[in-house]
Amino acid sequence: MDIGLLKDVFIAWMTVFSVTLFLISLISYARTRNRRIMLVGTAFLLFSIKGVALSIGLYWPQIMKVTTDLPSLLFDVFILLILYFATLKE
Amino acid sequence: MNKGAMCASVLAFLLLLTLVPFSGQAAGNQDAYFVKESFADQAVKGEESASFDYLEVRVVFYVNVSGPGQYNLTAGLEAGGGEMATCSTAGLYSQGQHSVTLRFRNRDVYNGRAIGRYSVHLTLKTPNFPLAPVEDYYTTSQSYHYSDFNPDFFAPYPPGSEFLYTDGQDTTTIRNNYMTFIFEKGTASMRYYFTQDQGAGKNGRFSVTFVRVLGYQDRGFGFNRSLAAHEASLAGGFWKIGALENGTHRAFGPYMRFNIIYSLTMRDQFGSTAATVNVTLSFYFSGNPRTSSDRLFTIAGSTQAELMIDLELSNTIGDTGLALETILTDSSRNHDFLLRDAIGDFKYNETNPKTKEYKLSPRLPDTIPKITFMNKWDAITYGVFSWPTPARSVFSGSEGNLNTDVTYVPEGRNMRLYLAYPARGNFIGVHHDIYFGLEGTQPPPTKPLPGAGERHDPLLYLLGSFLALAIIYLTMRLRSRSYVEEDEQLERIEELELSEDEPAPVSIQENVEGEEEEWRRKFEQQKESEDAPGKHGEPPEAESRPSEPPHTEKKPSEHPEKEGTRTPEKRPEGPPMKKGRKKGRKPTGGD
Repeated sequence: MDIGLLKDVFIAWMTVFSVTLFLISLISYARTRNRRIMLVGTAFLLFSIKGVALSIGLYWPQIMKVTTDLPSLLFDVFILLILYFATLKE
Repeated sequence: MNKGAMCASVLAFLLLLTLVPFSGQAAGNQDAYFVKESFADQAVKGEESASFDYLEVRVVFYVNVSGPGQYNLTAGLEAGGGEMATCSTAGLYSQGQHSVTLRFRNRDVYNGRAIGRYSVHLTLKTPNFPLAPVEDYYTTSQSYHYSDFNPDFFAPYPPGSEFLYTDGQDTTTIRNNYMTFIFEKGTASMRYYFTQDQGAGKNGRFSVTFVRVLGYQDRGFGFNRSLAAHEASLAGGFWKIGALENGTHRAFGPYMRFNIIYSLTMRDQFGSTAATVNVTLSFYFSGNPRTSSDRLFTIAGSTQAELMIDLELSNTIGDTGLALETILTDSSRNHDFLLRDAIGDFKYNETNPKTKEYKLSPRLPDTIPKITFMNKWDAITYGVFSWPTPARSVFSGSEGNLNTDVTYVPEGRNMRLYLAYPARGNFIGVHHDIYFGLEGTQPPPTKPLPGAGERHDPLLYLLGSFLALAIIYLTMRLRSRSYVEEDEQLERIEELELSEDEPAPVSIQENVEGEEEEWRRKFEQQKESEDAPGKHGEPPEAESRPSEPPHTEKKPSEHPEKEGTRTPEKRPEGPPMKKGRKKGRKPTGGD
């Protein structure tokens, strides 16, 4: 299997997770009006934008030349996983 | 956080990681492994073939086993998930690195109808049965187009491809409907361009001007222009047209060859004859635009004007060399402007030949390596390189090798090129086949982006999204289930509290009815007791109460729990209730 193909999987993973976390933080902010949550949500929003940009760069490089390498991508996915479970932590 | 959900997520992630090649092969066959960094692939074409004959892949593997053994290598050429061709080879190998060249037939590649980078599935069976064979995948270093492997291809050429030759007083012209070549005798320069879309800017046009021949002192350090002792302009010589040859090539269509021969005399600073130089420029044209490719590579020789330089020196001064100074210009700057050697590999020194050297892989004789100087992406840089196949020096019927140094210097959009031959001795001839060419009738493809050429599969993207969503769904589901379980647990605790005081919980309505009944009973008892003592005095204070309707308001009870006003200290022992959950929880029916 071509190792480059794993990028597809992890970029999708990162995008979905970051969008989910952003939505969760958005809902939390709407309930609590806590500015710290808004800042955290902004971070997730940036992650989401990065995921979308990477997705575009993956399949439509003529639109946006955004690329990454697999180790960086793995780090992103790990970070988001940790953040995701941190939000679930009671 | 639910530990099960976290474990499931981590497991799913690790499962993904196992997709990484070799991650799960630690316990596999360790007798051999592929050295993919040393792999190479190329399309191979014979001189007379109109399309490529083979797709050649060089496979390198390392054998860990000390003793010799029989190894079977099988390779499948794949693209788009399907297998196009297979080939296999076997050999006796011992410990060390080995290289095997595999050739996939053109017909198989053509029938595969695939475009892009092909994948080669490698299987190496090692002699230590029953170990599983070593497997790996290799992606070709360049893209291929199946139509370039058509074995039945015969280069078609359109009307007007035939060359017309005109030798005038000042110029010599070769022309057809697709190209024009003009050699100007007065300046010893040639201009060459395609006329197919002349003026549109996307077609090729380049010029070569042979400036002069330099004689120089060779002191063992290679060519040094400052040591030039004598020189002669090529434009100052006289010339004649050599033999003319034309015909039709199976692959390239109509072609034409002819020579222009210069003879000139070089004099030293004292006015004496230093050398007599004959320069033969051999031109070869094959201007069939239909065989040229607008794909990622070009069939070699299909659209190129080539020339061969043949220098003959006489009466040269000892320990001297000869250099041919040339200016190359690509006016449209849309094409790769190349010099190429006839055969063999070459060493390419970008800046300093002693410190930096790139040695390309050896090529087969039927392929022609080339050096690109000009293209639309990169600026020309100063550099020196040497042909690995030296020129030939001829003296009195005997031949010897003559190293050829090439120095190139950027000059605006042009490049000044020096071909230097350290020719020692008198009355020697220097023969060197060198080619100037302009590749392709179409502009070269855009410069590849970083990471371009990687394969991507939208299905894998969907797989990643699905896995992420599955993890999210799973964790949410498990989390909501834990809420339900917690609620049920709380209900059980409350039921336990009630069962300690009363056998069964009663509703508020039953409570009220029970209280009314009790009050009525008490009233009747009181009335009965008052009937007797009432004769002796005032009725008791409670006498008025019976007139009041039996109220349903709360009354301090002996069992406050029964009325839903539990006190914390009366809470029965059991699992502690969670404070956070108590706040928003819906009331249970028992309360």
